[in-house]
Amino acid sequence: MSPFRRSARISSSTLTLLVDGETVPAVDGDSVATALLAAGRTAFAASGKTGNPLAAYCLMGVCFGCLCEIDGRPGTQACLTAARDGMTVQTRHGDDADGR
Amino acid sequence: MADESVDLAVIGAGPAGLSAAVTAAELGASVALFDEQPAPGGQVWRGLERQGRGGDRAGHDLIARARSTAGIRLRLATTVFHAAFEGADGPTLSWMDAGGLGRTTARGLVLATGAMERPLAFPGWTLPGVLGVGALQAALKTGGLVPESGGGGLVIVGRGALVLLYLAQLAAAGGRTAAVLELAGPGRNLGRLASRLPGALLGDPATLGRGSWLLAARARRGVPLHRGVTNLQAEGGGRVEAVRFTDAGGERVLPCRLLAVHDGVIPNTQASRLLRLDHEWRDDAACFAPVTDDWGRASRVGKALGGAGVWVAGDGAGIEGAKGAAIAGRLAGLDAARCLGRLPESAFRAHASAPLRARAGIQALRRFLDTLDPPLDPAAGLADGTVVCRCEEVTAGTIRAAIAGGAVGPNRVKTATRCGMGACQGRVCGPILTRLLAHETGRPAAEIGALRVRPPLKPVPLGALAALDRADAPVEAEEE
Amino acid sequence: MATGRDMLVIGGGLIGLSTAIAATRAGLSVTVLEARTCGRHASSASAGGVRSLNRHPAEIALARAALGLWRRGPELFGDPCGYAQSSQVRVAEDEAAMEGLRARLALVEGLGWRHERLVGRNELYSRLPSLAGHCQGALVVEDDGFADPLRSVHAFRRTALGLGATIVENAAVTAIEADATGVTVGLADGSDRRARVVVNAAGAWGAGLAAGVGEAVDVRPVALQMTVTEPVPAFVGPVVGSHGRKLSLKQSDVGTVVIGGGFEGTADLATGDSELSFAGVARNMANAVRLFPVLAEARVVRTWAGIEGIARDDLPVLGTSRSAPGLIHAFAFSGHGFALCPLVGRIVADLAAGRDPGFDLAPFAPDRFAPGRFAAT
Repeated sequence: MSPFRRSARISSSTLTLLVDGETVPAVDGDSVATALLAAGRTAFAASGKTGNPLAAYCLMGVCFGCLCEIDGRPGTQACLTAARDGMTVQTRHGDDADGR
Repeated sequence: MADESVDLAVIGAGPAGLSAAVTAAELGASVALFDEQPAPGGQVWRGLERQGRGGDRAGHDLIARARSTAGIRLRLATTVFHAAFEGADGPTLSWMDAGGLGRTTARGLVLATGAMERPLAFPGWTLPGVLGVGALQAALKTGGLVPESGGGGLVIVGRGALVLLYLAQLAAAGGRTAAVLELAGPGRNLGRLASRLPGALLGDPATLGRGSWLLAARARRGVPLHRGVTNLQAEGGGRVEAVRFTDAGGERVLPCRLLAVHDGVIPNTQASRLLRLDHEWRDDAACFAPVTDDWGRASRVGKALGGAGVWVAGDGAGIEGAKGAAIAGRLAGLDAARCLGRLPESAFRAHASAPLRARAGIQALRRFLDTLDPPLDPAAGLADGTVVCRCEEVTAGTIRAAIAGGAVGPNRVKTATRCGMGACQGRVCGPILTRLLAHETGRPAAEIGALRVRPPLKPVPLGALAALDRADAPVEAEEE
Repeated sequence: MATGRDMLVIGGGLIGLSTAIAATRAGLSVTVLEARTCGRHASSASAGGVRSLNRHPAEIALARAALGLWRRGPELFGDPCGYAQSSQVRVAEDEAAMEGLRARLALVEGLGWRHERLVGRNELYSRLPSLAGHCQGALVVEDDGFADPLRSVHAFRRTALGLGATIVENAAVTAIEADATGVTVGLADGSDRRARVVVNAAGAWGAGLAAGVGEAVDVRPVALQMTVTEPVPAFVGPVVGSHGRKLSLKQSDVGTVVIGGGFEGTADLATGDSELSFAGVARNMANAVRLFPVLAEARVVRTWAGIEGIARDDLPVLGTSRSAPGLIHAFAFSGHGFALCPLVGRIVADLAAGRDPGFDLAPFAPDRFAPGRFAAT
């Protein structure tokens, strides 16, 4: 279960992202990072050094904890990338809603 | 590769950058306005444009003017990865967007790159689910994300006016906070802060008029407040599941699924340090900030800045909030226009006097706020096992050993430990590192300095840098 | 004035530290005077190639001997210094370069050396499967290697201190004066120090110090630029260069790719600051990605530079001073001193003791530059 829910004020226009092969819903206005957070993924990058999960921390492009491969571009900051319908996202840490 | 030449380049499309760009363009300057986000507004007006009729009126107006003013070339979702003075005429920016590489030469430059949250390191802060309060605000503004209550929900820890602001915003969005932990500090009192803080200070008038303060106070009344918190630790396997701390009642553990941390905001000086602008340490705000004059004009000792000049406006020059940032942007835009020959001296004085007075008032209030609610010292009580450099997983203990071994400055510590060599290029660990060095060596932060910043300003694909190579460029001969 | 020390070493880079280690092992009391912080400049601006491949003929003997010392890192410096044996490969990207490699091989074999070997396309691509397809062949040295410059600096420093040397940082030397009984050095803070022997291991600043004792050398200061990427999946083992191009590329064991090759930014000797040439970085990256297309998406995380002294003939200034008795020069390694540094310390210690160092140092003589016309700046 995600630690977040959507407030009533968000856009009703929904999109679909393909994340690590699974479909993840998003809304118009989401960044890829907020879409992943809404889906219960708080870690989607991994430390290059140890493989430990790297978490999204600042959501404003400073901490680089949200790096994913987005539409084939590796090392993209998910918090600065607007979610678009059909976007493919490859995370380096297969986190699911239960944090395994 | 896109190639353009403008009068004024502005990096950052938040309140300061929008204001500077619009001001200069309305006086006839050609302006290139850059932002790495897909929409203008910076952090405080993030997602504002999409809100249609809701939200900050001033923000909507400024964004609309930036989009419609002839002479402003708006480059969104664009990362500026280098800025340098290659000739005497002014700065050259190298940048990337979805379409590829670009190069902009300008006669003047305004840096409006804003602020970042002051990093607060404690055991477990790198666990997934530990985020900045500003991050939760961004999540709320961007995706309407509100913390769920299950599993302990959201616990907020820290200090600062942004905590109050977020409580109000969250309450307005129908969200709840399970607890607020106010970190120990002399005279620190969140309740007193809330009652004495004029709403305008936080620069978000749309959500923070008098009424919102009452809402915040009411929201806070229903939320358990723990004061004088020490020994903070986040716990969990794979993600945060609980927060452990000590308060007046002894040791406590609260379950949580999100832990939001805040210790104020500091200027993001990555770009201003890349350009080797002069910086100073500000004791009351415990941060480095560029040295600027009343109009925001920056300086560089030793190597003159070519062209019309460089200005730093907004939170990137010193925290003044959105309203202060917009005013600072206007002043920088006016001064830039004057230096570009677009504004006669007398007209400049006439235009600048009112904003200058308004800004002085805001700055005075900010100084008051800093004394009322001073920042924490991240080095105090920093346990050896706590990670300082998130990207390279370098702990405080490793850094202390390097300092003891003779690494007496941040760049020495960096080469000895790899702290600051990761993806974030020292943005997050840098402020902690300076304070830790000050603590361990007994030397003032002003003397210790910050990590050296070299290009690229953000990591950039090697192929993109290679593509900047021109076969005809006067690079040295490659005899071997 | 502090006296009584046997040797003062000016410069706390790898050359100066290596000298301190060898001299203290030989029984001298040594003080190192470093203007800023140890290893700040040329010692940090290296891709770490421990290379005998493509050495100037005058340096081949030193490079081959130095290899043996790197292999004994744990014994000599208490740390392997990140050293690993690994072939060095100098690729020929076209037929003209291949001709150049053949000429080089003939030269080296004519001098009696057998360590360099020419390989054709088949062997080249079996060694470097990720190499772009246009290359013709390469010159290879099997038993070269690489080490970690920063780790080496820290290890050499620790070793020197452990042996009893004194290291003083933020101690810039501005003048040298020799007399019949010793050498006096003047520091920027106005103090003096004196010793029987002084070693000028001041890198790019060594030229100014040499000029101060009337030995003009043709050495110019440059800021050697380095670039490193984020970690990428392993794709290349050896250190790779390209004939006729400026490139030195090495993937570390954590996957980061360190790229150099001698591109020059501008150096300010007075402040120790440097400005990178972005055009140079771009050309350097172009050279790298042309050889290894897989690098195109690797993100460059950092660039840096260290100030190095480059001699007109690309050879170090190494030998006893001809004008100041008691002064020994060991600077201007021209961007390729890293491999030699464990050996240079021993050579200098030998010179200080009046022993024959066992190598022909004539090509490195301080007075080899025509006087007057090539004054140091």
